Amino acid sequence: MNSSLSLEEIVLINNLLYCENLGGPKGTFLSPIQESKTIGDYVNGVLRKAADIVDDEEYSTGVTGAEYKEILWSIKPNEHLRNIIIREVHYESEGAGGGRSAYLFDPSSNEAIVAFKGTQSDAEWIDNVSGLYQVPTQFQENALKWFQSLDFEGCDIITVTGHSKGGNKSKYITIMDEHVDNCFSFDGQGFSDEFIKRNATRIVKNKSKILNIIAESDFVNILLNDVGTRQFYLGTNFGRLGFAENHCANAVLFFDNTGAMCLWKAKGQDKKMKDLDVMLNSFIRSYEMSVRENVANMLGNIIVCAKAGDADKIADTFSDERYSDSAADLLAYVLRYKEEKPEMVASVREILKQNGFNTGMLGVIDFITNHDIILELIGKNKKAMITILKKRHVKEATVSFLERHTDLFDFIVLVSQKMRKIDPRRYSGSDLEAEDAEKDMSIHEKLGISRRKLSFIMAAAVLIIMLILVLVLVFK
Amino acid sequence: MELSAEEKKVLSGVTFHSEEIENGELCDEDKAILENMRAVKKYLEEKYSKYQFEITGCEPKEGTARDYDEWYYKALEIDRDSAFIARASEVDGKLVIQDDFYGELIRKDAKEEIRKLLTADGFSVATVNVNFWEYFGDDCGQDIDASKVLTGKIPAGNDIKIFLDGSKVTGEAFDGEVTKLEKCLKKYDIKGDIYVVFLKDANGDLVRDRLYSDSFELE
Repeated sequence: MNSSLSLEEIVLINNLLYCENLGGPKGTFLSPIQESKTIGDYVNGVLRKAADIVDDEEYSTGVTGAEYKEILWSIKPNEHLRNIIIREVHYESEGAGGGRSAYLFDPSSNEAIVAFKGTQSDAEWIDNVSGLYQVPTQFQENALKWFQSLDFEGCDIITVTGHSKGGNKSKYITIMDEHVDNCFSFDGQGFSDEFIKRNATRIVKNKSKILNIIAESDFVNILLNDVGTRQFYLGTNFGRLGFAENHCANAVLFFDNTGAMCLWKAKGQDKKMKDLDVMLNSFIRSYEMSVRENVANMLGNIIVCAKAGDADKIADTFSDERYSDSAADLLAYVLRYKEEKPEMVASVREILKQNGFNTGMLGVIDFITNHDIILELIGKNKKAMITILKKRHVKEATVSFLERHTDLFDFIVLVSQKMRKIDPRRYSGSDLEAEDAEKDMSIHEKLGISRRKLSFIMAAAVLIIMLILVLVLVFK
Repeated sequence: MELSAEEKKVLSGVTFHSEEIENGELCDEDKAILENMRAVKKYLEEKYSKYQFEITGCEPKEGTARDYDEWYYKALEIDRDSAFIARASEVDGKLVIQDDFYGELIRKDAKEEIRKLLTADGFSVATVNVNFWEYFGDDCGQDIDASKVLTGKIPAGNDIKIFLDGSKVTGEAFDGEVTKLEKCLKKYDIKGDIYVVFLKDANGDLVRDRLYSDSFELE
């Protein structure tokens, strides 16, 4: 890799892409009106009117005015970054929009830097999840087409970068176009098995140009198979958005007393993210490519609702006839997976804690959800369950939520039925490497049956105890 | 429900219900998006009747810090790679739309006017670019006058970039040239943010052949 940019500079550029309306419209970095100006011109212009930036207002998801000011002040003394020229700003006009990007030029090294902004609105998750069933996605193709239309005459180095979906686009371009010298993908998601298989030769040839810069607890990079070297960085995790904050572009920025920004390498990926990564890969592999669209849309819907903290809408997704089957597949898969790999529960507990949820009941939930028979019993007795919960003085909000969404009980029955058919150990959860593109990711080892048998015996015993308990509580 | 190919394409990009959209069976949420899309297109075609527009995409406000939806569009008569943007927000139950297309209509005249007055005052101009930060609604923009915009009678948030031939500046006294340029523009009552770049010669590359740059604001 021969870029003249430091990793700190790359990360700062990716943060600039999200600057929007800082102190007014002129505070938008990705505007065609900024073309021909330098990064320094932009930064000076915004900081001149810093008083108009409201410190505790969010200017992009999870990033406040005060945080943006900190970022801009750290750029101000950096002459190299300041002198980089904004050559072109692009708003994607084909294929339902979706994408803003910039072509920057570093005059000190004749380096072209093509930077892609990441997912911002909920709608962009539609394309994010379409990577599960499309090779390539429309936005990936749009990005490549725009990249190939750029004039690189006189440029000695070509570097691509981007955060989140922007990171994925930059990896895609590096794989598909030989002209790229360096790719810095920042928290970008990976590619499907089908993509890896179809483009194995190109990936083997170009993957050494790709460096993935990843926040240790980021949850987007874990989607699908990554390509290139991965380096993890500590996250600042301010906690305002809880778990979701791990994906903000400023999550890896640390500032010292002088206002200078630095990154801190982490030992590796956060364990809970690693667990989720493996589980998601394994789940996705349990579906044929041709039937993944529905699963992808269901996943996208749930992610968007979860981002907004809208539990009612998540419940609606579970009971929506379009998604209930694949949502039940996912939940059944997670529960069976958890049963086989109990360490997952610790990861889930930590994620819930980070989001301010009370995890006191998790042990009971874990126990119940390990047994499809108990789940089915609960699902088939909605009225009795709600009565029990009321008698046990469970929080009114929880009871009222269940009363509003009694469809969830039918969903639970569906999940319990699916749990019996799912074998979460059938598919590997490891990332597929291009060198192993022909490898079959299903695991053919003989299944350990004793655990399953034991589970049935346990479930039967618990069922009897539960029945007695239910009767006692209802008729008390 | 009958949907055009353009509508199907855009809606499929902003909701997860691609199959229902293909069959014209829209849920209430998607119907609302479609209504807004049609309203934006109608607004543009009524406001700029000499042009035909295609809505190419949408970035809804949901999940962003914005309080308006951004509609991406292109004018079929204009060859431009990047999309134009219209903003739509609901104010008191009414859809309020603003657009940036007026800038495209006056850009050529505005550039020419700046070039002419600078040349008349002895500056060796390589090129001029003019852009506008403001978005206008249907009360302003269709018959907008470039001179009124440049002189701030219509406040459009002018952003004027002037590229000059640096080889004509003796002793690289760029500071002095910028001061002269500021006086010149003030004389003609030009308003806006001015960005000046001296290139190594009149045909110099706007990015690679820079000698000096500076900026000032004319209010």
